[in-house]
Amino acid sequence: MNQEPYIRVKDLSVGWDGQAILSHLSFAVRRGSCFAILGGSGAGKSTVMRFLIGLEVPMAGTIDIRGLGSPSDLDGKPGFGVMFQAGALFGSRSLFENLALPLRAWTDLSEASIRLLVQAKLDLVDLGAFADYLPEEISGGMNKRAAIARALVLEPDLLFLDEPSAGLDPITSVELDDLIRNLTRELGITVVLVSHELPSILSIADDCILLDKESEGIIARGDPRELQRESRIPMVHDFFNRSSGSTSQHRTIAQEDSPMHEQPDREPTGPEDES
Amino acid sequence: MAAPPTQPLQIRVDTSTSEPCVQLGGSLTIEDVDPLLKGLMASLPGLTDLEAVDLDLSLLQKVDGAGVAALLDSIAKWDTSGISVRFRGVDASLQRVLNLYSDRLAGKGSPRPAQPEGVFHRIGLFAVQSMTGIRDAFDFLGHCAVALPGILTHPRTFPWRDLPLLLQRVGGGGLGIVALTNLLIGMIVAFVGVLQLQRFGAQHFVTDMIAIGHIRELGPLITAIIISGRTGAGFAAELGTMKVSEEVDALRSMGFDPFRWLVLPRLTTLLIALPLLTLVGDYVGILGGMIASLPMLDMNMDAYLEATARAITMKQFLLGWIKTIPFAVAIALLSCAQGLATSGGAEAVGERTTRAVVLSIFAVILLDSMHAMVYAMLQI
Repeated sequence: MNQEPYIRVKDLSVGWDGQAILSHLSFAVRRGSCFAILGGSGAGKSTVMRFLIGLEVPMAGTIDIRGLGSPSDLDGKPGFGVMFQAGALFGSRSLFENLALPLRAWTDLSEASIRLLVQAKLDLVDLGAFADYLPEEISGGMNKRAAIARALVLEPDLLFLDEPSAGLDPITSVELDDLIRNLTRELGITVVLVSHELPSILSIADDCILLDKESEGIIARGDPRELQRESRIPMVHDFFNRSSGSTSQHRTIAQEDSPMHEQPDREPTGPEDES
Repeated sequence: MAAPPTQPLQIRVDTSTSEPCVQLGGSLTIEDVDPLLKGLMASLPGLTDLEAVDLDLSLLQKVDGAGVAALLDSIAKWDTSGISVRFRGVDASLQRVLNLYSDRLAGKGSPRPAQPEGVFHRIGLFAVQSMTGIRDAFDFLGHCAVALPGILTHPRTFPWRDLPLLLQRVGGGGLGIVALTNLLIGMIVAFVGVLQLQRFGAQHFVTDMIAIGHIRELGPLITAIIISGRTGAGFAAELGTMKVSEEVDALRSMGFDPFRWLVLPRLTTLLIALPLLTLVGDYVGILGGMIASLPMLDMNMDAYLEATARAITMKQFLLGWIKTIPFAVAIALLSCAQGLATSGGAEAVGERTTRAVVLSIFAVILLDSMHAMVYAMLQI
């Protein structure tokens, strides 16, 4: 993997309606790496991605991709592929048409070549048999895979993926992780990934930042596996070790009379009461 | 042995002893939330002089999350009144539910502060929204203007292949309702016209009234209103749905300008379809007038058609037909602007669609009245 920074973000502030939700974000993404933007629900992960791909103008700070500056001008051949959280395939077009659209706009390929390339990309995500299907005729997981295929169709060397494995069954999720890992390791594509799916992150991400909405910024950065093992910051430790039950730091209501009363006639009515 | 039946919620307040106590018994479930809140609120005045109170839960027979959440909310209110609460009679299962909800209630998720709703606030909000609306309108027009030359620089980012389909949807799809509406309007004008003109013995001039009235005013106006409701709503809903499902963002990320890919084709389609539909509407409207008025007039069809042909001059036709251009621009831009301004969910799409139709129809009528005034001033 190349150590050269491919994306440099410096003092970036992002937010809506003039109000910053995350401030002073600085990080670098190395060429050919899989970089994960992590955080809990509402931490602003997808918002950061929208700014990175140029859909929004930063409130402050700079984003530099390949040393060419901010991707604010999106009117032209895109320098990267993007997969949105829900796939965002064009509902009135077949999978083939969804993938052919950027090829027709930004290449001079013949229709036969376009058909060949689209079929190859659909085969790559195991959707070769569904080229003529509309997005509404296939499952949510298949929509996500088709969206990845569309993001890859112009052979970008940079890919942004928003929650690629969220909502997928474990088998499809693992297959998708394998695909993303292969894209970075075999094809050298730089991947920026927004996720809160811990198994995926630990499986594919080389580097990460962890966002926190309370601190309005980055609370940890580095190799996710090292952060899981070594971080002593409680919030970071909790995030990476959720499965081990570290979130059970419940505040306990003070009891004046310590002995529990026997109440055999109380009927447990909620799931909390099973025992 | 069967468990004893669950008693309704009981609240006992005892402040006579050295250890004042509030005791809850029976059921504390979702059905008991209102009695609980009322009962504990009623007990608050009697507790205000106290620094601490015991809350005995040992007699509770049945609890659920809603009851516990309401209880903890009441306790929080006591707390703000300076009364600290000591729990008694809490067994392990109840302790877990209490912990579960106390974590959430004491946590970080404070509700969004309520916005002031005073008159001045609303006036200010209206002013700000109006200014934002005007700014957004200019922003939208600017984007369209910038997108237009891009058809030359990036011709393949204009959906040429979609144009026939759009024309079919707007023109072919709208043909039936446009024709039927104009037919009926022509008949209505004929009925009213013949009856009124008969009073002056001028019923034969109804041919002029129908022909000029429909070609110059009613045909373009009725057709534009129908297209506002049908096509304008369709454009706004389609683009609004694309916006909320991130399809517009996906287009942008693939290097397609949404104004060039989505707005300009719809504008082009309406600029072609609306004048053609108006032509159809004009002729069908005159046909409707003829169908309605011929039986009431002492005139055969040839004479009627000859009189109609005499009434229609190129000037009258063009004065009506030229209006379809600004109508098409207004309907297309307003509908697309509302669609692209959608944010939120399904409700927002519906709201923007409604607004698109209302604004389009209003704009059409406004433009028509402006044309009428200009024509009157120029005496044409």
